[in-house]
Amino acid sequence: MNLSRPFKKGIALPNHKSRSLLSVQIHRIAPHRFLFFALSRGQIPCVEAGTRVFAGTQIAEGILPLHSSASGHVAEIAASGIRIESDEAATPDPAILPRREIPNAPELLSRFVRDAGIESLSAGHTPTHLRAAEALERKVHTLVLNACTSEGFGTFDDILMMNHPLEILKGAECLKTMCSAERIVIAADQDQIEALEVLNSRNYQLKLELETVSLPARYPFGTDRSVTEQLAGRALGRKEAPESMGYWVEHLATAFAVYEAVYLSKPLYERVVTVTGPCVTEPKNVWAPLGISVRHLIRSAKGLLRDPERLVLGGLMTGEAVDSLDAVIKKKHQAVLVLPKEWLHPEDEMPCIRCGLCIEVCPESLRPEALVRALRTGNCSPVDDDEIEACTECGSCDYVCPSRIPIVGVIRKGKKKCPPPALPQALAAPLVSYASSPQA
Amino acid sequence: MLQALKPKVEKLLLTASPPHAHSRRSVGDFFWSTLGALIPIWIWSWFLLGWNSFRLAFVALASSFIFEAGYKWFSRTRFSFRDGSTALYAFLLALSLPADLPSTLVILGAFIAVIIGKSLYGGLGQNVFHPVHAARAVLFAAFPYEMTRWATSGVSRMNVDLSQPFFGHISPSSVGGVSIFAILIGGAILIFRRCFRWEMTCSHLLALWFGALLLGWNPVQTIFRGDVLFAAFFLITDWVTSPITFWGRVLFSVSTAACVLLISRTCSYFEAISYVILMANAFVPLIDWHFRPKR
Repeated sequence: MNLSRPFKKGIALPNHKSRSLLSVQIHRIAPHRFLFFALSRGQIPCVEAGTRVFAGTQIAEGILPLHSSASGHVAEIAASGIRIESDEAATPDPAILPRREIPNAPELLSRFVRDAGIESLSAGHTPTHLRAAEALERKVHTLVLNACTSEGFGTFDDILMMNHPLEILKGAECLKTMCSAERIVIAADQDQIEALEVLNSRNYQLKLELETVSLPARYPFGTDRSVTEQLAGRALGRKEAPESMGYWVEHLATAFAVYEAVYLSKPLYERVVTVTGPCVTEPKNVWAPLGISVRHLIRSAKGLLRDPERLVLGGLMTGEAVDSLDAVIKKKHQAVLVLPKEWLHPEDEMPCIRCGLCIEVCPESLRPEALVRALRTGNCSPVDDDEIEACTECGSCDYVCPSRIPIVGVIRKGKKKCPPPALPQALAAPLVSYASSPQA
Repeated sequence: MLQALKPKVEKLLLTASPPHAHSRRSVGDFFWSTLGALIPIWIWSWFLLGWNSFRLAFVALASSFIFEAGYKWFSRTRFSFRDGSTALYAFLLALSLPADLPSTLVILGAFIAVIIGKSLYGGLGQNVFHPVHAARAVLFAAFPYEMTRWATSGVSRMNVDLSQPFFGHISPSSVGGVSIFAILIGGAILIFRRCFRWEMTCSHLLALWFGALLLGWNPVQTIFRGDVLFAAFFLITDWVTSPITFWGRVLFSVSTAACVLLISRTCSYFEAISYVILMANAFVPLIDWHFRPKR
C-alpha cells in the first residue's frame, strides 16, 4: 500500500511488547468480590439492591445497556454507579444462548449489537450501532479494523488476533454487513506480521473480501484518522471524518465483541486488557471483567516486583495516570501499565532553549514552543486559535523536549472546551419502562 | 500481601498528565557535548600557545560563573550550573578571542556576555543576540588595538599556506582558529553525540565556497582557515539564537555567509563575523514567523 505521509514527523517509540507476549494465551481470572460499574450519562439502573444477577444480566438501561460481569447480587446502587458483590464465579446468565440463525439484515444486526452494549473499545464513547448507521448513511466502501498499537506495551490486539482469528473475521463480516461495505482491511503494525498471517490463513476458508496491511509503527500514526490517511493515500481535512472518504474505522476488539454479541448473544462484559510494565512480575493479557479493580488485575499478574511510580490506564503516551489501585476497568481501558521511578526519569523543568525538536516531531505541523510561550505569558496573538484546538495531545513534543517542559499539560489547560463527540445531538435518552425490559 | 502493601504503594503513586515516557535527552546533553567537542581545540592550543590560552579559558570561566551567580542571587532566581550553559558560553568566548588579550578585557567580555547578552534578556533561552558575539563586538569597538595586535606579527588576511592551518598558526586571530584538524575532530564528536546542526555548517560553508567563486577568490583558501571553520562549526550553530526551523536555519547560515564575504572584502573576517551574526540574530524572529510549518 502506498504511504502518503513521509515519516519525518512523529517519534519512534521503543516497543516493549515482548514481555507481555511471553505467554501467548489470554488468561482468565476469577472476578473479585466487589465490582463497580460506573453509570454514564443517560443510564438508569434497572435492578434494585439485592437483586440476583448473573454474568451478562442487564443492570442498567440507557443509550446503551450495561451488563454485569459476574454472578452475585447487587450490593448498592449509588448515583455514580452500581456496586455488585459477586460470588467470585462468572456463572453466565441462563438466558444467554448461542443464536441458531444469524440474520443478514443490517437492522437486526444493529439491534443485537446495541443490546450487547458495544461501544468503541478504545478512547471513544460512541455506541457501535450508531456509528454503523452513520457509516451506512455515508455509503462507506471499506471497513477498516485498526489493530495498530504504535504506543508500545499494548499487545491486546496482537494476542486476540493470534488466539481468536476466526471469531474476529466473523465479527468483521457482521460489521461489514451492518454498514454495507465492499471489503475489509485489517491494519496492524509491522511487528505484528505473524498475527496478520494467522488471519490471512483463516480467511482462506471463509473467503471474505479481506486485505491485511502492515503499517510502519511510528508513534502518533496509529490512530484511526492516520490509518485512514495512509490507506487512502491522501490527507484528511481537519473537520473531515474518515467516513467521508468512505472508510469506517473500528478497533479490532470491537469486531470480537460483535461476534460474541451476534453469534453467542453474549453481551459485552469483559475485554482483553494487557497488564504490563517494568514493575509487574509477570506481564500478560487477561480477560478482564468490566468493573474489576486494577489491584486484582495486578494480582493476576503475580503482583509487583518493586515500588511503582505511576499507574497508567490506557496507552503509554495518552493514558490517564490514576493514583489509586482501586480504579476500575471500563470498556475503553486497553492496558494497565505500572511504571517505576527510573522509567519516568523525572527532572526539573528548564527554560526553553529553542532547539526546535518539538516543531520537528509535531505530526500536526504545529509549533509547540510558540504555543507554550503564548499560553504561559497570556499573549496569544502570535498563534492562531485553531492551532491550539488542532493539537491532538499526542505527546510527541513532550517526549523529545530536552528542557522537560510539560507541553501537553500546558496545552490542555489552555484549550477551550472541545466540541462534544460524534453522538448525534438529537438523540434523547430513552424512557425506561421496567415492564418491557427483557431481562427484568 | 497486596492488601498489606496498600497504603505504601498508593502513597507512591503520582498522578500526572500524559505522556508517561521521555526520550531522556536533556539540555545538559547538548551543552556538555559541545564542550566535549571543544576539547581537541584546547589541547592543540596548549601545544601551540602554551599556558596563555588556558589563562584565557580560566579567566573567562571564573568571571562568567561569578557574574552569573551574582546576577542570579541578585534577581533571586534558581541557581544551577548543571546544564553547562555558562561553561559553554565562557569557553566559546575564550576561544573566539586572541590569545594575547589582557585578562581585564576578558573579564569585561564575560560581563557583557553574561549580564548584558544573556541575563538581562531573561536568562538561558530568552536572549535574542548571541552573547559571545555581543561581547566581541563591544570589545572590538572599544579596544581595537588589543584585539588586533596579532595581525602585525605577519599573518596577513588572505595569504595563508594551506598546510599550516592544519597544524596551527603561531599567532592566530583567535584561539579557536588554532587548527582545522582539531575543529574537524570536534565536529566529529558533535555528530557522534547527535548534537550537530549539520544544515547550518554545511550551508554556510557551501555559501562561502560559491560566494568566493563569484567574487573571484580561491574558495579553498577562503574556507580552510581556522577562524572560518570555527565560526561555521561552533559560533553559528548556537541553539538559542538561531532560527527554530530547518529552512530558517539554512537561510540564516547562507545570509551570514553572504554578508561576511561582502564585508571581508575590505575588513577582516575576524571582526566581520561578529557583526554579521548579530545582524542576523535580529532577523531571527522574522525568519521564524515566515518559515513556520504550514498546515
